[in-house]
Amino acid sequence: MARALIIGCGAIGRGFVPWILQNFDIDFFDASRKLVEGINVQGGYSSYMSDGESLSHLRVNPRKVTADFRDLIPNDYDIVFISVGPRNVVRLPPEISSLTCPIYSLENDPITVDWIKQIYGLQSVYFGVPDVITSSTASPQNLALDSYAIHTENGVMYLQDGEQVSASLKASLPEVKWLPVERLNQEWDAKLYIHNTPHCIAAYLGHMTGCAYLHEALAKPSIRFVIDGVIEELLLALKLTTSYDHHFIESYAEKEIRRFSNCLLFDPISRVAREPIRKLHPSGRLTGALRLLLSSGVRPTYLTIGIGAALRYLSKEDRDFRQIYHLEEFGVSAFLKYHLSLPGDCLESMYISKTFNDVANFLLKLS
Amino acid sequence: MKLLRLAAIICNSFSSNTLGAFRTVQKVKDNEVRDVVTTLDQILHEKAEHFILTSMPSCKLMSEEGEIVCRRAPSLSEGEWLVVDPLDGSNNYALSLPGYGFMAAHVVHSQVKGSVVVLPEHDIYFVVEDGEMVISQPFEREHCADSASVYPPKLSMSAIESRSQLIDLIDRSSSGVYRYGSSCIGLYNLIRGNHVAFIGHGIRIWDALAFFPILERFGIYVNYHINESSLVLVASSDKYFVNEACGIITKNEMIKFNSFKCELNLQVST
Repeated sequence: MARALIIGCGAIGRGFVPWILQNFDIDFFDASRKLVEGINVQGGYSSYMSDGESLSHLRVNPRKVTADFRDLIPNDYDIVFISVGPRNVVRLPPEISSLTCPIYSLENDPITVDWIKQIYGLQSVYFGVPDVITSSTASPQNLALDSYAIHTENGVMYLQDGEQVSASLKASLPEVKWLPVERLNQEWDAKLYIHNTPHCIAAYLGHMTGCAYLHEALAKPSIRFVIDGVIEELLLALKLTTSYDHHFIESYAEKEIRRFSNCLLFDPISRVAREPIRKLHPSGRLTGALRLLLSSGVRPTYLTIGIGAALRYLSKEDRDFRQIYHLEEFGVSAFLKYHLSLPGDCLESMYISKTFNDVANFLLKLS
Repeated sequence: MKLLRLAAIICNSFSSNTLGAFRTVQKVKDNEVRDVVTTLDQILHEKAEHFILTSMPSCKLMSEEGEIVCRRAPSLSEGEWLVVDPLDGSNNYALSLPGYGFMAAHVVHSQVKGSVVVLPEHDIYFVVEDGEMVISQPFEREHCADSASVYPPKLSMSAIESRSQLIDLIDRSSSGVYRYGSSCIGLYNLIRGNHVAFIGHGIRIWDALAFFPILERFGIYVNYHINESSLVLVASSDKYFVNEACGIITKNEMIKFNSFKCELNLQVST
């Protein structure tokens, strides 16, 4: 049997990846000793997959779950997935340098592939796009049965094809769509902008209106109206600036709202909204999307509402809470400069600063 | 974090000077043309003063631009102080040259409890408070190279002798001396790994104190000597360099160095 290592037992790593690895022996590594001990005590956990109407159940029985990388044999694997959050990629155990098989970064940012190569001296590192929404938790009923249970939708895993990816590995992963890097970039743009951008904006708006789960936010007509607007703006910009197949991006956009609204996912607002400063990075889903719209001549009316909501995401449990709490004292322009290196005279910074007060007034009415 | 609020206010002040109107020189200290006070020095001093009034009312201000009576290092042994250099590198700033920043150290009964450093040209701030450090952007230390040194305006004969031997040491140990006209930039380049050492030879306490807890967090060895009004600081990632440089200064100037640790009281020679 083929063997896989999943680094990071979060939503994607624990919830979605095991569904495509049903022909594999799976080991997990996670830095959280509590999580590792909990899963080991139970001998596994449950993942539930939603098709929109009902849930399928998968009992995941890992071969090994550990918080100490030295417990693992690095040359024992056919494939490795890294899903620890982009900020944590630089803090992986140094022993991952000894891995010899293809390694896939599922970190929502292709730059993490270069980081992993540089920091750990690895060569066979590739990018993967899990086109899926996976909650970090489960419904109250399923959590009562298993406190480590998790819900995911039935998504698609796109993995970059590479020289070191053998035919036998591909054969053992029939659910995966293997793509050359150019095509993967198309999927990535679609996911980054049409999926990730409205997804996190829905979470910020949901937080402002007191929702706990994303499907609750999408059930509010005022939020739905903004999200529809964001998707329209992004579609128009992508059609104007890329050669992507219009049918592909339109059909992708069409299914997005349906996915966000899936009431079986129990996707917490706190998961989707977390670390807004990272999401505001100039190459990311919010400011990067703003750059795309401005450069293509599309007026970002709804997107700036989303950016304003991200800048007002005040959740005490969030890592970026302290900085955002002082937004008023920083001023929008200085906040963007010191946290994102956006110069005060760049177009994105000027646009966000100029519209911020109007957006803040709109958001006050919304909440 | 109270000091994060101060960092926010200072970042905002730096950003509001988009047209360079704050570069105007308001006065020259002690007839030293390199020791100038710009409009921005005064604005940042007032911001720090207002911050203390509104957020830390029991704290006193020791500022480069404050009253001389409040600028004695021994005073730090009593009560709560914010030791501020509103604009380190004022001369650079006035001349539109690179190399300037804001520094504030929070000292309670001789212990450095926290600090704020804002470096606008690098889009970065550091805040240390409650045993924790916040850096505004991802910051990775690089490999070490070179050395840095800061010169005070006036030196005694023994200090001039030290200086000569220190430069010789630096030339032997590195690719040479860098001089920025701003200690905060030299210290920033030390924690980035661009320099192997920083020597502040007879600088003033507000020129570097805010960096002490930051240096400690980056694993830099910090030896210092503080007297009534001046500070000698030798900081390096190379312990042997620190020992050798301190040995030179001690031999020529008969001063004793102390190692910095956040939990220890600052030692002030009277």
